[in-house]
Amino acid sequence: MAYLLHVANVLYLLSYLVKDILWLRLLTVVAGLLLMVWAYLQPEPLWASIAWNALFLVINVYQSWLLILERRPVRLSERDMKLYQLVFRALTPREYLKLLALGRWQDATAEARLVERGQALDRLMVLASGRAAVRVGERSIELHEGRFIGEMSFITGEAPSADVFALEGVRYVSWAKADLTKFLAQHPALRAAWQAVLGADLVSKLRATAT
Amino acid sequence: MRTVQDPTSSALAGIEALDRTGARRALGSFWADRPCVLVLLRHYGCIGCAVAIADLAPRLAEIDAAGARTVLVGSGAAASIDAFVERHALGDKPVTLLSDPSLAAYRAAGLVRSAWATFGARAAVDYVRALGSGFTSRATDGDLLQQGGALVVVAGGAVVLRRVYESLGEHVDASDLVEAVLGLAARRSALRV
Repeated sequence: MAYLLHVANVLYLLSYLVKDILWLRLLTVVAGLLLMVWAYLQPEPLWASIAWNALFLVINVYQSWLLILERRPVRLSERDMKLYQLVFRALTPREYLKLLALGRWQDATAEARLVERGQALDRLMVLASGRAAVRVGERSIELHEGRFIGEMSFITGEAPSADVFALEGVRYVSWAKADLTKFLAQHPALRAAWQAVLGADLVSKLRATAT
Repeated sequence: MRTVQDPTSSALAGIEALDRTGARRALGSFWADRPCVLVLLRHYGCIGCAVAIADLAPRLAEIDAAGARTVLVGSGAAASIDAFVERHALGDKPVTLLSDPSLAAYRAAGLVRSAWATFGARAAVDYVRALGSGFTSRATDGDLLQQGGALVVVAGGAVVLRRVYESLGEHVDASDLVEAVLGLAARRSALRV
């Protein structure tokens, strides 16, 4: 049975040579299993060794599972993919999925008021289809699919200075401001990518209103 | 790192720093007509500043697009600016580099000058962490004990963000600077939604 011990140690050796943490853990899992079998098959089973290796095994299997979940391919529905291509290309598909999971797809009919001037806005929206209009008195700008609604209030924390109406049936994703703020604070890399997306939208709107 | 509320940048506005040619530039001129992100570095060989620049450099275009200037001030000689710009690949970025060997700007901004902040336990941890991330320290070029800081100043002079670093490894998250600048841009819009 000594060969089990040697094979286990060769696997440990290999695990120290690989650079990928997933492979390192998987090799360690197999090596640990072999070591546990070897310890059990001793004339007097080595229970202490088996117990410690079982603990390492559980930790490594759990961590490997998390890594596999993180690395599995991302599949986007046609609707999600369209919005990704329109707005969120600065994010990785996985980051985008995390963000989508936090929001809600919603629909609104023509003439529906999406934002009311002067009323605190507790959500941020992005138009996935349809058109909307930002209006203050006679001034108005039109928003098309891919544009954000509520991003200025999101950034400044101030109430909107204009109304937003749907010009036709619209579909959009809506995020609760508090949830999104908390989520972005926990994901600094995603926060930076999100700011780049939001900033580009904001700057183009400022240019549109300046002309 | 401390966040300090400061209603005015008047003490800073009149201070002159040196550009790469040695010409004097009033700091206030950088926020006379546009908001300005003013980052005060330590010395040009500082490892903590290298980390800070690596964080900020990819975001400079966003700050510029949002209508703000970025000015970096170091405490070394003006003649060292070109080498610093080249080392950090800032040549094609929307940023101005200045030197303030007199440390007048640092004092006006209320920044820390301390041996403990440079050689203390926290600084040592910051130093090792930066080394571990692949950054290197270079020969001191400027004031070794002076710590850095960052401000966002609006056109007219009000300070909307001020951070005072208490260790050589501290730096403001570039996302905080971008957020401050985007907030200023949003407030300029008549149709603010």
